Amino acid sequence: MEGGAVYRLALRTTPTFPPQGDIPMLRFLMVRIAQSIPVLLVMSMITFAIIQAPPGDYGDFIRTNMITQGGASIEAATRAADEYREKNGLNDPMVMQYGRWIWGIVTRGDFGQSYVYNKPVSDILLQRLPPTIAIALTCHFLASALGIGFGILAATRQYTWVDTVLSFVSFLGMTIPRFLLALIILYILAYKLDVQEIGSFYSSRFGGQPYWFGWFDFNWAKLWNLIQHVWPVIAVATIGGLAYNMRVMRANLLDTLNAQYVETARAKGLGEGAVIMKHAVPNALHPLVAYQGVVLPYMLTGEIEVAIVFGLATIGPAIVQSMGIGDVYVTATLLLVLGATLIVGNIIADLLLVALDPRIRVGADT
Amino acid sequence: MTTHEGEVADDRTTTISATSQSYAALVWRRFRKSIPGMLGLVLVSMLLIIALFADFFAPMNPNASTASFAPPDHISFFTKDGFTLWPVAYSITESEELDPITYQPLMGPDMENPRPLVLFAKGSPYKMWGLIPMERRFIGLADGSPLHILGTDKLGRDILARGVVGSRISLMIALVSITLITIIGTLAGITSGYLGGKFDLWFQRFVEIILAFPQLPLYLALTTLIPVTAPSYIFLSFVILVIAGLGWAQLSREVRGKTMSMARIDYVRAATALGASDARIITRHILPNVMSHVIVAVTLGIPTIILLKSFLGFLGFAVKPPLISWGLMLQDAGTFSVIGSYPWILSPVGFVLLAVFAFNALGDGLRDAIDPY
Amino acid sequence: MHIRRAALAALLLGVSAVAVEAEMMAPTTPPDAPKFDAQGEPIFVNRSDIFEYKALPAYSEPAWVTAFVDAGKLPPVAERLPKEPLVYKTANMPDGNGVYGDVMRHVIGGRPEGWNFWAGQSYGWGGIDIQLVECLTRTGPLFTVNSTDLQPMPNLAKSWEWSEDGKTLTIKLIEGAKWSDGDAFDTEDIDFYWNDIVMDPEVTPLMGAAPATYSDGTLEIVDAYTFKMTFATPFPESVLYNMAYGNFCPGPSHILKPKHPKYGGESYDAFLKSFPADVMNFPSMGSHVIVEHRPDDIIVLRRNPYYWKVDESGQQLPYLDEMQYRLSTWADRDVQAVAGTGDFSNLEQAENYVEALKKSADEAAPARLAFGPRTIGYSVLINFSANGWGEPDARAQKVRELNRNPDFRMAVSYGLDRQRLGDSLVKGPFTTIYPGGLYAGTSFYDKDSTVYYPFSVETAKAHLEKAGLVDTDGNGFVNYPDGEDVSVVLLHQVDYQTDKNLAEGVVAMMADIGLQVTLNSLPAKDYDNARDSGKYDWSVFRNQTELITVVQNTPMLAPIGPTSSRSHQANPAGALDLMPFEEEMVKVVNAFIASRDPAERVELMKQYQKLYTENVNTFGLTAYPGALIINKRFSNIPAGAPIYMYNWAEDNIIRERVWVAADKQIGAELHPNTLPGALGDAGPMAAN
Repeated sequence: MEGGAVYRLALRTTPTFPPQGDIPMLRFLMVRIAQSIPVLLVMSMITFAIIQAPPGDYGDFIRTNMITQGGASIEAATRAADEYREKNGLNDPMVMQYGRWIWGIVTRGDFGQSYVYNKPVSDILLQRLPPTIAIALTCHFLASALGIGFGILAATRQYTWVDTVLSFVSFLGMTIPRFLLALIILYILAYKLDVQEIGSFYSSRFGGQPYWFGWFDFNWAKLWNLIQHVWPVIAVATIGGLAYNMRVMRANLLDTLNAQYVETARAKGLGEGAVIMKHAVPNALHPLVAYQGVVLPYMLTGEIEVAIVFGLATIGPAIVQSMGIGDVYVTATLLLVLGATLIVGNIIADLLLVALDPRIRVGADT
Repeated sequence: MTTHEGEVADDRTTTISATSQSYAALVWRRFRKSIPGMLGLVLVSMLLIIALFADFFAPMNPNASTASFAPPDHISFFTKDGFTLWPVAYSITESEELDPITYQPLMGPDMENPRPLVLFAKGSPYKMWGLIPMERRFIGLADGSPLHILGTDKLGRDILARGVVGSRISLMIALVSITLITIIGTLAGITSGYLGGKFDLWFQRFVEIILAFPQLPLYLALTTLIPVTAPSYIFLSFVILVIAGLGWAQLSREVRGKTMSMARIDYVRAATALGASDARIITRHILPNVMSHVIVAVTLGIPTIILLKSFLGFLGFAVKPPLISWGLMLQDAGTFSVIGSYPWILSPVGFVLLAVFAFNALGDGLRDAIDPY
Repeated sequence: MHIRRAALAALLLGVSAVAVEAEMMAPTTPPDAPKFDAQGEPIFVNRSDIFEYKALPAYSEPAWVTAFVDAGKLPPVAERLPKEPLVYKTANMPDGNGVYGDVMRHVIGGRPEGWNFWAGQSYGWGGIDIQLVECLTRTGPLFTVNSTDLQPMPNLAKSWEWSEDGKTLTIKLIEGAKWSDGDAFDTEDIDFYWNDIVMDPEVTPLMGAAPATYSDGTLEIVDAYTFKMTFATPFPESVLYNMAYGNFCPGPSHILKPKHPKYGGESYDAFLKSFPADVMNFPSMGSHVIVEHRPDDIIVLRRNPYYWKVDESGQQLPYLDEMQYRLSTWADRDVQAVAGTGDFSNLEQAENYVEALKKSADEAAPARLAFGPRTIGYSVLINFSANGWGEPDARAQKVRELNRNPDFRMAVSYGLDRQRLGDSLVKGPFTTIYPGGLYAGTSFYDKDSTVYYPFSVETAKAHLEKAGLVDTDGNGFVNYPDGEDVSVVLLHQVDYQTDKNLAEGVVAMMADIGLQVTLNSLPAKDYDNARDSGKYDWSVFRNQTELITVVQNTPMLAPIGPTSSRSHQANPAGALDLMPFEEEMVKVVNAFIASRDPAERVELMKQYQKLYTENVNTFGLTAYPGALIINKRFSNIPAGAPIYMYNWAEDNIIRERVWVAADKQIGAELHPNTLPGALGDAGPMAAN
């Protein structure tokens, strides 16, 4: 098989690195990328096997819709579903379906066809990925900034009411199930406050408008409309992500504040504020920086529950929905993309770690 | 989970072997001073005891049914005769009258009939752990009538009783999986980080596959993969295996990073040069230093697992009735009518909060005790 | 009802429940459904009271459409309409003739696959397909038709006539109606639909219409507006119902034909995909035509200037200039309708009634709730096949044999606390006890022929014992005589909260009588598949149209053929192992299908109901009304419209004659003053 060859290649090109310099860094990067290909391939196989494991396929979905929505007779609907399966190769063995899919990706960059949208999966990916990344980055930025800020506040005011309140808030953010938080917000907006900006990204009026009417003529109204629609999602996801950042920041800052070099800085007569901001905070940030890479895929799916509740067309809900109706290539492709972001994230994390902590050397053995 | 890879470890490594006191005693002495830690310990112990003797602590049979969607009984220290030292409960009754807008039967406390709350009340008979026949319950009404401290659910079953009984499965799954995760994750992380080289390289690719594993579809597919008529313990073991099987990878990566930076520290190198055995280096130097990290990861992991289960419940994956778990109870919470009209059905969120708080507080206390800086 | 309440009060007040339940119960008739003030009553009329086909002295259109005529882009309105358009009678309109303008904003969970409905592409459901395809007959508004006049309504088929022997059906189409691009609608379209869609084995239309759908008849074109169908059996009336929405809704042959392989099209696959979802202005006979589709966002439809229906004052319909379909989720539809960002929803999950009512009680609330008859009903299907349908394993086979034991079925029926099941969805007068069979309040229902086994744990246990099931190992669950635990698997779907709640309730109640029931929870599509292939012991089932209307899908009422029943189908060898009561049901249903005498049919349905309920053909659970959430600004919404009966509410409310008073219009049109353009144009066209 294809994968085996790549894997052997990856193994042969794994050298031990000299400790420093730009060139090894680049090679390290190349090797890691080469190594990630077999990982992705294995993962795609497992993924495909899992999503095909439950009984039922898209033919069943067609059948169900014809019966319940269109009032078709069982026999007619079953016949129609069988024909669909025959025409679209749903009856082929799983290995063949997988082979077709992966072969299409490798040779043509074709991720297959979505049954339900009746268009290439790549179209759906391209349509859903940008808003997903935008939301994820926004949430992540807010969660990091607020979390780190709160963490510094809490650590420098350890055991005061500020610390207690912030810890409690972060604890709640971490603990209350997000779907519930989202449902409660939606309930209040729709049932109590008569808010009209719910569901999807834009009100129907703005959805078709361009963002730029012309040079320097930005469509502010559309942006505002977008914010009115997505703020609950961003708020809920931010509160959830904030807790983690704050916890880690607080703990690490407390650690570093007691470290020798900080004591030294204090002894040198630096003001406490300067000590914290110049010496302690940058060091306490290390683990959080390293964490940035790992958090990538999490970010892409972190808003999943909220997006489902608010009916936003992002990646997360698409995975759950396509899996539910048996639109296999959509599920498989989206999961593959998520897997790839995770691996990329890990590589970034490793690089960041090296950049921040000179004691860890690229690929060095022990 | 927390990553502590970059941390400056040098300064605290000396604390361990320098003390003549036993390590455990030292930790305990430090731990006792931490108020949140002790609070956490007490709460965790209480939770475990309640879960263990759930049948006794549940004020009612969790499957007995009365009126659906009944709000909590009115508990008060006041009767018609004035203040009482011992609280009384006014049970909720349903009237024939309907609300003119929602057509719901009007319900309210029956203020005519205060019933004293008693400890060790005689209630409906049950079998402790399915063996010992008993009929006393921790709390109940003196006359043995139903007590709904947190109201009833859609089928008129007592929410508190279900919460207490449901804690069993929820805590059991969380504790067993976190134990497995900790053992596997720590061992794998130290081994990989300490051995390094080819083994590390291969093993980390494997870890990456696990990390990148599509968890969501696996959970969604899981229900259909387990035979429907399989006994419940098989179902539970399956869930635990999957949670643990996917959960150890993250921890192992973190432990590996920690181990790698530790193994390069001068005194460890010195120990190696002096001919100390690998086992000694690992147990004396590396393990104690990764412990604080592991403990934080564990205490954060328990709530993560409990929350993961509530999320899966939202997506439709939970233990099947008649088994009871918090995740299953939370499934009922996801409707607008519950949020708007029957908020007491959201109580399982409170149970989750309590459990998460308890384990977090305990973990923080322990962490500070093990690792005082 | 009162006894139940008293018992409940007693429970709440702490009186021992055993005292109430100890006595044995006997079968009785079901209690009357509770009085429910919010329920609307349909005004029953004859079909001819609703509309007729006739020429009017003058026709009119919105002023902005006349601008298109003035600009030379459209012929005058009189030329666009058929010789005798379909004229809705003012007397039958709840609020009278309307005014033009405004938009109805739908929210749907489906997505359009493309516009070739006739090769099997779905438009995304939720009323969009009902809107875009018009059919020969129409069933939705039949909920308001007198039972004496119950027959499908004419639509594109203006009239029909049976030959004396009942084997030939002559159908006349409306004359001079045009597609939205101006092409004539005539038997050319019928010919294409019949010969190149239905009869072409390579083409499977949506809903899968095949010759069998039309009783294996043959079709012959007589002239441009007449065709004949010939059948082997006399009076197959079901054919007329099958000419309504979903099946005999011809496509534009002038557009589709060139793509069909028979007429030079590339291939069948190319034919299927020839009009993908991003092609706009696909011609339609419906009131509106698609002009915009933003994926995962919205579909916009503008008025069809060639629509062939008018009101009595000569105004061309529809009144509404635009239709919007937000592409979201089905759950979002209810929320948006309640919040007022959507205009229309079929609220069928009883769990949401209380909140929706609370919200709509507010003076300023955008939407109102219109409750229909209690036609949403749930049963547990009992798998009666003991000879191999669905390939049962040893455990399942044992359950099948139990299912065939009348004492066992009675035990379960006695063990179901149907009041509590209903309350678990929503308390109050919404739900009613449903013993199974035809619904109370529908035209063929007869209370005295309905047998109800009232809730009684003691009686249930006694019947279990009679069926030979006793708890011999003391684990709280009954065992077979050979000592094995009885274990029944209850199949249900998880896409609807209602199904989940009822399944959980059944499990709990069965545990109370000592019967171990395990859930098999599947997504809707897998649930349907498992159910229809017989892979279940019991299955929570939302009743379909045959139990509501009786005249639609009549063969499904009993196992009259190898695959006609949902709970008893033939094994792979084609053999049915019918029980005596089933054989009687088959006789009754066959007699019903053959009969054209209304009195006899009523009598036969009484017999059917008796056989069904006395023998516990299914475990009836609960029945309740659906609620139409409709924005308050709309006029002409008929009273008591069910969300699903003969068809979905989108068809029932006759959207083409719904209107909004000028002062209530909200100005939400996305493409004001435009009409559908030419097929393939990017969007609608403007007058200038």
